[in-house]
This record gives sequence, structure tokens and C-alpha cells, in this order.
Amino acid sequence: MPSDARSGRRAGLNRSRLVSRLQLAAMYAPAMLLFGAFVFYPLLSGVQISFTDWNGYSQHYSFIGLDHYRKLFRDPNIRTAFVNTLIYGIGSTIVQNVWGLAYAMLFNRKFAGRTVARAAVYLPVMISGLIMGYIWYFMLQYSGGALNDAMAAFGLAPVDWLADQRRAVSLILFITSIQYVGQAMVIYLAGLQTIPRMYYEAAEMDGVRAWSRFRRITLPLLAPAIITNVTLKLIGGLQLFDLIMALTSGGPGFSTHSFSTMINYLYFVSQNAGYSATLGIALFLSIMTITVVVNRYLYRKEVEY
Amino acid sequence: MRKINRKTPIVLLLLAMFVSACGNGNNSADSASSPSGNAAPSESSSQAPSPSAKSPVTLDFSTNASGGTLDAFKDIAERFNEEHEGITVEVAELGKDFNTLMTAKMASNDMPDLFSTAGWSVRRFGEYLLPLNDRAWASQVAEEIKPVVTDAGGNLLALPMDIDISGMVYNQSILQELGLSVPETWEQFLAACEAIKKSGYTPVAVAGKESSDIAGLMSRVSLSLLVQSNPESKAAFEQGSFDWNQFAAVTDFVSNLKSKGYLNADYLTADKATIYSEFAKNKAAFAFQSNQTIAEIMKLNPDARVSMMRIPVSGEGSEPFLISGERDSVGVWKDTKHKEEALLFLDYLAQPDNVRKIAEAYSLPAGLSGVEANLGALQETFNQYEGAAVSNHFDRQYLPNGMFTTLGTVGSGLLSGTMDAGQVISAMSEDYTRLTNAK
Amino acid sequence: MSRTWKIMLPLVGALLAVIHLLPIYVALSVALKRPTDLTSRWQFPNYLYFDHFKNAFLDGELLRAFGNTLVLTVSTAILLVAIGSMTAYPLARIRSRLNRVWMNVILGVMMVPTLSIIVPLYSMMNRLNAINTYWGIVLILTTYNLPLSIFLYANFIRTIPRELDEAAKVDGCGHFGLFYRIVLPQLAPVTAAVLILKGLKVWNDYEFPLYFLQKPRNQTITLAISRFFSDTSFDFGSASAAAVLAVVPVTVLFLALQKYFVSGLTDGAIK
Repeated sequence: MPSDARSGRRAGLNRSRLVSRLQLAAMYAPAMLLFGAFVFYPLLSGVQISFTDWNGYSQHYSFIGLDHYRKLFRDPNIRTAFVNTLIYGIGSTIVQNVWGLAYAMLFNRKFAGRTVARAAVYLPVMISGLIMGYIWYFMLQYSGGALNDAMAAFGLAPVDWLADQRRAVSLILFITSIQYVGQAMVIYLAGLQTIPRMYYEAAEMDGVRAWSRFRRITLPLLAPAIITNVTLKLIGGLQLFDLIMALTSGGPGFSTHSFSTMINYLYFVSQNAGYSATLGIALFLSIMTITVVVNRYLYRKEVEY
Repeated sequence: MRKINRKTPIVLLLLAMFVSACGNGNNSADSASSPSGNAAPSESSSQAPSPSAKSPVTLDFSTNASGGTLDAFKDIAERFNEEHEGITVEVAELGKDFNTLMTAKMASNDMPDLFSTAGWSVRRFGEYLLPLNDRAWASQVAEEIKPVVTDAGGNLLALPMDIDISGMVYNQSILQELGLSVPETWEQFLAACEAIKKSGYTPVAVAGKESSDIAGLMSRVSLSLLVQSNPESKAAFEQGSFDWNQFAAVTDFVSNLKSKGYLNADYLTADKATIYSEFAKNKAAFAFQSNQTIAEIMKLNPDARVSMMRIPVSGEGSEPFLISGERDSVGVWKDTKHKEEALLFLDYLAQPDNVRKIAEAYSLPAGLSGVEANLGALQETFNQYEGAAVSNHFDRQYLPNGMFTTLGTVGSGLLSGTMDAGQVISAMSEDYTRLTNAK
Repeated sequence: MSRTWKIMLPLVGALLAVIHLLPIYVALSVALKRPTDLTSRWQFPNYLYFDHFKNAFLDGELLRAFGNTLVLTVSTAILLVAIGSMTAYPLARIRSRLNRVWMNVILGVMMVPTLSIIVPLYSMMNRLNAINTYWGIVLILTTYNLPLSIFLYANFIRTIPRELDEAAKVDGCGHFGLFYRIVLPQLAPVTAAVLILKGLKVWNDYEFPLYFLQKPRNQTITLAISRFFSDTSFDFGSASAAAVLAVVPVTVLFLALQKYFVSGLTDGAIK
């Protein structure tokens, strides 16, 4: 406790500063311990594994140096997974944000049945991606699938929806988007409601047109919501795993794999733990780097803002 | 007031779940499967020595069995649990995650007390299995299957409940209708496919969604073209000097099936259930699958006339053949903490009635001699082919462990057009080298 | 609002509701049909066949899976709130270079696909005998969901005026005291947001339970249902029934808590 006497006060300050530092450290500690133990230690261990030819279960393995890394850059399947992951990640982000914002603006108006419709749009978000994938499989099956039945009703020939790479990847993107758009919608709804009506009314009176109102008032004031949503969607898209496993398991061939499913495949199906770890490490490091760089950029912008 | 009304149902729901979780968690004597009507213990069972008054033991029996076979295992486990107070066998059906999870378990040296060896008792699970030579039924293991489940040191590593004798599945009704005889060479086979296609049926049905089905196709074709029809490459495999460029024979054959339109329209995305129903509706003629398919088709349409045929060969000098190997074998982990109880269950499984049940579920002969499985219409077929040439599975005999999935992946790539023959060959070659060196 | 809007909007709303509920409709239709009924999936059966639901409940041991998932989710949620808020406080309040580094690290971990280090992570958990244990998976789930939690809390804390902090310090509060008495009570909205976003994610998680909860006894709901859809079991009906059953509790919870939900997100995620 700081006392009033000068010398006593200084000593008191030093001690309380130490206590305060310790307290701060104590607040960091649990999280940092968890990260250290469950993220960074495995990361280092993973680096080690990536230099071996370990198959995932044997007690023996040997060092092969950078072989896996060399293969990584030449491997066409990895390239496919890379492109797909980008499509799932960036595609998700763009599609779901635009769509979600549109929905939010729609549902921001009062109309009959709004609550029900809004709940219906959000409901799929609460279903596990895996289960959603299985349900959609019922819709996309070639014989007996709901979609082909509908096509038949219109006199169109049935299509093997998931057999073609482009179609399958697009379908996966579509399904994850239609499932999770509700989440973006809800966050944008919340954001929209924080914008005071005054701004819009004032702008209207000044004769500012709808599109400009949107651009100059809505968008900037939604910035935090946009950041949150973009972050969430990017993470979700880049990590896409369960939906792909349920619908195609990465097939046909390797054509719909994402990095996550590829890592799983290499480790558990192909018994190539070393290579799997290599992909994992490469992924981890590259995303870390990108995130840090982007964050630096945003930080600077935020400060200006 | 309104707040309370809203929250009460939620609280009640949560409470209900908590209670159920606690209730279920504490009760370690839970039966693993749904109650069936069968409460009478089997009369022919030998008197099981009652375990000394110890705390209840739960045995983990992990299996990759599915469909009828899985149900049979579950029934047996349930009866065992009823007869043996103090021991509970939990059947863990790992299904398609079997390989994944067993890999993980081996890595952690934390194996289930009992597990299905899925064809790999010796070459994959060898170091984890308890030798069973001293069991009462050990001498009854059928001669055909004994070498497959015995390691180089003469240790019997698993109880083979059935012998996987299979070839390909075909629809007798369609062949009869078109006046075709069962093909013995690939030339005859392809001619038959052409006729079948012209009549509007599907010549070959492939469940492309399931990598294991494609692997089955690739494996049978490889076995025929690279081993049974070709003594030179067979020798090369045995010496480990196979030139993978010759694998082109297989890729050409499969690509040919596709380009001639002999495959079902949804060959890339159909699952096994779809194939079964196509056969049940008498729309598909051939499938490169094992006899479980026959049993499942009969479930959908008991009048279907579907049977097994030998795998064709090409050229002269060789005869069509059947595959013979392990199917449902069960082993005991050598480091299990409950050796006595696990062996008790294993012996129970070895009882003739139980062996028969499992074998019949898959329409296969039993793995213990003296046990007659009722194979129905298939009995005739088995009798017909009694002296047929047999071979072990391609990937179990001639490839290192782990390449079954490679076959599936390259097959899928080939069929979908994302991999060409050259890529398939290099993938096979790479994995062969990698997996051979790994152990 | 013009009259055309008044008519159009509810129609559009209804159309959207139908489209988004289609998958559930199909699942329900399959779940209520007899296995031999091969009519189109669009066609709702004109009878109600409940055996699938019975099977799903009993065979799938859904009740036990519910219990497991509940325990898991609640434990993880509590940890996420406690540790997340506690860690976010110094990060938000103190602008130091070290803290910027920490924030970057946390963001990085958040973006990385969790499976990247599954190989070494699994080996490690093995050696610790943590597979099939509650504490093992709860710690892992917490660790990998922590970054977002910290992120949200930090953003929010930054908006709490520092003056309150100063006042508390003068009163002689240490950091902990400050945290508990001043900051924490105000964090209710973010806590709600974290609970909602992360609670749902953990409830539905497939990747981690797949590897770390292998015994059927320990399965979560998603795992239990995936067993039904395993490619070796052809019981679409029971699988759909199981899927529908899994959706029910979450839906009920959501419908009841809708109001708090939106306000929680407003205050929590948008500030």
C-alpha cells in the first residue's frame, strides 16, 4: 500500500510494481502455458517428424532430410489441395459476407414472418458440418437423390453432381455458404442495429441517394462487424474439413481435397505421417506469416483511423 | 414472470441431459447393443469357469465388420455378456475409420483387448497379437486358412471365423436372359459386357464413392493380369523386382471399361448401397466385389439370383481363379490387462454355433473345420468350384501393407480422369518403395 | 413502406426460409420412411414410421453421446471465458512491443488449420495417456478455440474507458482486483458472444473428437452420428433420424434464447 512519506512511497511503489507485474504475468500464464504445450511443442515435434519417413505407427523410422519438402513443391495433388483451400477460404469469405450482408439488410426491415424466416436461415448454422454434408449427400446422389428427382420432374437428365471436379468444388463451396450465411447475417444485423437512424434520415433529407448512403454510412460504420465476419469466415473456409469428408472424402481421386483433408489422408489413410507433418508445418508457417503481415498492415490503418 | 417461463424448459432439458450422462457414465456394465429377444443361453456351450469375485471387467472388441457380420458379432457379444456376469464385451464398430484408428492405437501402443485383424494378422498386427496355439480349438483351424494366420515362427495369431473365398459377383438372371455363359477369359468377359450394354443393362457396377470398392476392382484385375495370367511378373513380385511400368496392363483394362461405357453412369459417386439396389432390381450384371454383396442383395430382394464367379484370366495357360484369404479373424492383444477374460471371449467366439453365424453372415465357409455353414444357393457354387485355383489377395500377398488404399486412390484418379496411366504407375511405384522400406 | 414491398417482403422471407430448411425437410422425410419405401426423397410419407428414431436412439446411444458432448462443451466454454478474458486484459490494456507480438501469435494460431499439427499433437497426447480422457480433449479444444476468445475479449476491453482503471488503481486495487471488480462485470455481452460462437463450434466439432475420443463410450454426438453414415452401414433412415435428433436440442435452446443471442452479438462482437 503506498504511504504518503516519500521514501516509503518509493519503496512501496517498487514493491507494488513488482506485485503488479507478477499479477499481470499470472494473467497471461494459463493461456501461454496451453499454447506452449499444445501448439508450440507439437509444432517443433512436427518439424522433426517432417524430416523422417515415419509411417505413423511403427516404432522405427529414418531421417530423410528435406525429401518431403522437395516433394511438396512438385506434388500436383498438393497443388490441387492448395487451390481448393484458397477457393474454399476466400470464396467462403466473399460469398458469405456479401450474401450475409444482403440478408441482414433484408431482415432489418419489419415485415410479417420476419422472426420465423430469420430463425430458419440461422438454423443450418447450428448443425454440424459433417451432418449437413451427409444430408446433402441425400440430395446429390445420382440415383434416388432429391436433386436428380427434381431434374427428372422437369424432364432433364440426371447428373452425377459430385463426379466432376469443378462441379464438386463449387457445390462444396455452395453448401458451406448456404449453411453458414446465417451466421454472417446475424452479426451484420447486430451491426446494422448500432447505426443510428439519424444518419440515414439526415442523409435522405440532404438528397443523398440510396447507394451512396450505403457506401458512406453503412459500410464504414459496419467496419468492426465486417472484420469479425471476414475473420470468422476465412478461418472457417480455410479449415474446411468435415463437409468435404462427408460429401466426397476428397475425391474423386484427389480433386476436392483441402489442406485439412489432405493432411488427414496422408497421415491416416496413406500411412505417410512424415509427409503429412511436412504439409502441416508448411501450412502453419505460411499462414502465420501471412496473418502477421496482414495484421501489421491493418494495425497501421487502425492507428490512422 | 416471462423470464422464468422461458428459462425453465431449458433448465429442465439441461438437467435431463446431465442426469443421463451421470447415470450412463457410472454404469460400467452397460450392454453394448440394443436388446434383442434372445434370452436363452446356448445349450452347447461348455461350462465357462466363473471368474473369481473381481471388479467388473470391460473388454474392448474393436472390429471393422459391418452389416450382417457386425450384427452377428453384436448378438454373440450380448449373449456372452448375459452368461458371464462380471465381464462385459463392448463391440466397437470402427467401420471405415478402422484403419485410421488402429494406426493411431498402434502408435500409442494402446490396443483394444480383442480386435479384428481384417486380413493382416501376420504382416501388420503380428507384433501385437497373443499366440493362440494353446487354445482348445487351435487344432481345428482349417488347413486352407492356417498359413494365413500363422506367422513364420509357427505362432497362431488369430481365430479365423471364416475363409474369404470370393471372386466376382454376377447376376444370373441377366446372363441367362441373354444366353451368356459365365466368362472365363477377359475376352469373353468384354464380349459379354458388350451384349449386356446393348440390351440396356449395366455391365459393371462400381461403387466409386468408396475407395475400398475401387481398390477391390484394381486388386482383382491386378491379381489376374499381373499374377495369375503372367508367371513372369508373379515371380518378379515375389522377388521384389516388379517393373511398375507393366502396371499399364491394369490401367489400360480399367480405362477400357470406362471408355467403352461398360460402367454404371454414377461410377464415381455411387456407394455400395446403390450397387446392391441395382443388382436387386436386376439392372446390373457384374461387380468386382466379395460375397458379402450377395448376402446384402438378397436382403433387398430374396428372389434375386446373384452368385459368385471365378475371376477371369487372359490368354492361354491359366485358369480362372478365386481369392482365398482372411476375412473375419479375431485376435487378442498380447499386452491386454485382461488376458483371461479376453481369451474366454475368444473361446466363446470359437464355439461352432458362433463360428457358423459369422460365416453365414458373409456367405463364406467357416474357418474351423467341422463347422458347416449353411451357404444356401452359394453352396452349389462353392461345390462347383471346389478344386479351383486360389490365390491370396493381391495387396496382402504381393504388396506391402498400406497399399490397398493406394490402389483405391489411383483407381479413383484413373476413373475420374484426374490421373493418367503414367501418374498411376509412379504413384504405385513410389508407395511400393516407401512402404516396403518403412518396416 | 410501399405496398409492393409489404407484399413482396414476407414472400421473399418465406421463400428463403423454405430454401434454408430444405435439407432438414429431406432428412426428416428419409427418417420417417420405411426402409423399403423407395419413393422420391421430396415426397413426405403419408404414414409415420418411428422405428428409425428408436434405432438411432438406442443403437447410437445418443443419450450418452449427448451427455458426453454436454460435459465437453460446458467445460470448454467455462475455460474459454475464464482464460480468454483473463489473458485479454493485459493484452488490451498495455501497449508494449511484447504484447503486439503476442497478439500476432494468437491471431496466427487462430488462422491455421487445426489439423496441421495433428501428427505430433496426437503422438504427444498418446505419451501423456490423454487419449479417450475428458481432460485431454477439453484442454485441446480450449487451446485451439482460445485465440478467437482472446481476440473478442481484447477488442471489447479496449472500449472500456481507462478512467475506470485509474480510479480503481488509486483505490489500491491490484490488477486482479481491478479485473474482477471493474472489468469482468462489464464483459457480459462478449461472454455471451463467445459462449454462443464457440459453444456451437465445440458442440459440433468433428476433427478433435475423431482422433481423441475413440471409445464408443466417449463419443460425442457428431461422432455417434457419423458411425451411422459409415460407408459400411446402409441404414439411411436411422442415420437421418439420428441427425434430426441431434439438431433438436440446439434448436430448442436457440429459439428460447434468441433475444439474448442477438444482443450478445451486438455488444460483444461489434464493438
